[in-house]
Amino acid sequence: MPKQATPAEQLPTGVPRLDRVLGGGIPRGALVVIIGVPGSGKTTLAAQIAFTVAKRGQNVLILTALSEPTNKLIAHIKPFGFYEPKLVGGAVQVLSLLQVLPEGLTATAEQILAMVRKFKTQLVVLDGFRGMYEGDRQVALQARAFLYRLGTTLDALGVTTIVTSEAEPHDPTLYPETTTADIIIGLNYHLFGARHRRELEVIKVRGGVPLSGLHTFTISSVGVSVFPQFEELMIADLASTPDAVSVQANLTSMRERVGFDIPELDGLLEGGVHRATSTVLAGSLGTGKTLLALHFALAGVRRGEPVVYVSLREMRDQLEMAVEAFSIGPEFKQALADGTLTLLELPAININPDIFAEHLLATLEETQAQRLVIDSLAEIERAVSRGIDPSRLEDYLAALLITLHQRQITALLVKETTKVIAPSLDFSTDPLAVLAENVLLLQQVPYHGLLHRVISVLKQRYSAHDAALREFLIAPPGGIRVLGPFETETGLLEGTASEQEQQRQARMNG
Amino acid sequence: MVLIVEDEEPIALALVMIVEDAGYTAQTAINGQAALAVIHQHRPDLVVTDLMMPQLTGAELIATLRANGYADLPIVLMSAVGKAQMRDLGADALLPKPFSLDEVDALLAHFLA
Repeated sequence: MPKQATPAEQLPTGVPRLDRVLGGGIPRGALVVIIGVPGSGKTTLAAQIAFTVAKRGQNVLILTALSEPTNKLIAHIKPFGFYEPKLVGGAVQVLSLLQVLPEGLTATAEQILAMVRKFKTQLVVLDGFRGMYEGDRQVALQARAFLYRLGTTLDALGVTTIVTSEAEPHDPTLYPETTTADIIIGLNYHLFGARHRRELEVIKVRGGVPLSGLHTFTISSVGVSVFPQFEELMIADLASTPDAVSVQANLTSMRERVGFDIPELDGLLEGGVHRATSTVLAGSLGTGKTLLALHFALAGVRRGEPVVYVSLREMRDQLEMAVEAFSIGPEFKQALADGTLTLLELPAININPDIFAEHLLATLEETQAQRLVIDSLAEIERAVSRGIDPSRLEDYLAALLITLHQRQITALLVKETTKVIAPSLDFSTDPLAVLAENVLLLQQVPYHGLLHRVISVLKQRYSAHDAALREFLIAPPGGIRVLGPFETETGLLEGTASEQEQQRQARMNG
Repeated sequence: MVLIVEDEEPIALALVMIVEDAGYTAQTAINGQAALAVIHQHRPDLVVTDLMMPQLTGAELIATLRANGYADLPIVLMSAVGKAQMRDLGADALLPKPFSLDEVDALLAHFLA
């Protein structure tokens, strides 16, 4: 008899973002089954929910079956931040079923109900349920009846039940748990290359709409934290945004232009890129992408726009060093000091794309950012491609760009290209370049024994742009200066254009 | 004494626990037919009955009782039906399913205090 819970009857789990994944928490009186292999975090997750409930003033009963004795269970959860020693023995009762189990499941159920009455319990955690029936089909049938009777009685009493069971989440022999439960949470824990990965999935929510798919979760000193699959989260958020409001707001926003404060470049862009659009800044190593990205960020700071700069390659001192010789150097330091520019330093080591998205969205929300630089998005693309499902890449990038657009953020996404690709101007197979509204390309071109830097606007959606190639210089004090059409030797740009046209023709001819 | 007429045993068990925790005694019957026997023998102070049950339904139980000298016996109908339908069936109060502890406590206090 699952309850049709109103929002007020939802039990917050206290596990960051798990309520969002479940579609709103746990309905009071629900039977929740957490299934996972040994070491997957079942007990930690159940205990974290239990202590959250107890901290809200409700009584909790944690019962161990055959998984581990109570002293071991307490020792196991003690190091976590959610553990509160003064609650144990009061609002949190930790008891063993070891004595009553040999008397059978009916006697066990009666004993549990007696304990619920005695302690006026609002949440029962039954840890290690599978150990109560494993290996015997007849006992499994009894276990199903036990779980049904216990869950239904507790539901009618308004008591929520969490049962943990040790198995692969999709183990077909788990029918006692899976047929009876209102909510089933599967915890996956496996080796991926040389790394461990933890993923949570909501297999069933009766009467609810959970986020589908696998969601990353971590176990740290604070306990379990869930990081929803970014694409699923974005789809759910999009569905809850009133269309009329967002369309009008975005249209108004997009009519504005957002510049780099580099006159010749802004001129190529007819005044700048449209607000709330994303621009790919592509180029090979050493072309000045980071410096141009910093120009873009500081142009925002000058206009009083909160700016977030995500640096996945260089730390703060390295960025300060990179701009030290230029007039934007002191400006960069000042913007960091007064908080108008927020630097998010995320070393490109073992990046999880969903954790990255969570950090990014939290920072954008906190700072109310209007401009964003990600330097470089290639690191995130690599992280997605190295993940359990590389085919996510296009969906992930689409979700990222739509989310930024919905928040009316103008983004500059730095991306490395190989020298082979750059001169060919072929971005038709690059999902990021296809999805983004604008693409800027930086190249290094050899001419008369020297490398020259050249910039061009490959694409600008919603308005015309100047398609001319322009040489640019990096020199103190101004930093990047894009040269005017008559400041460059004509042979350099004509040669580059001619070479690119020849390559384009060659591709078209097969 | 409160008679709980409910074919789903776990729900009957929960109601017994709530009634006993409130300080009253409780008995159960798994359908209307079994309930009639208990009522004739023990004359409960309150009957809490489910609507949909095999053999004799809650509606038939109420109709039988009201026609056979139990016009004043307080009867609470457990159901998702509306209050108007509850009154048409001859019950005195409605306990909506799913119920909360507070709702059961309030009904016990109203009829037995």
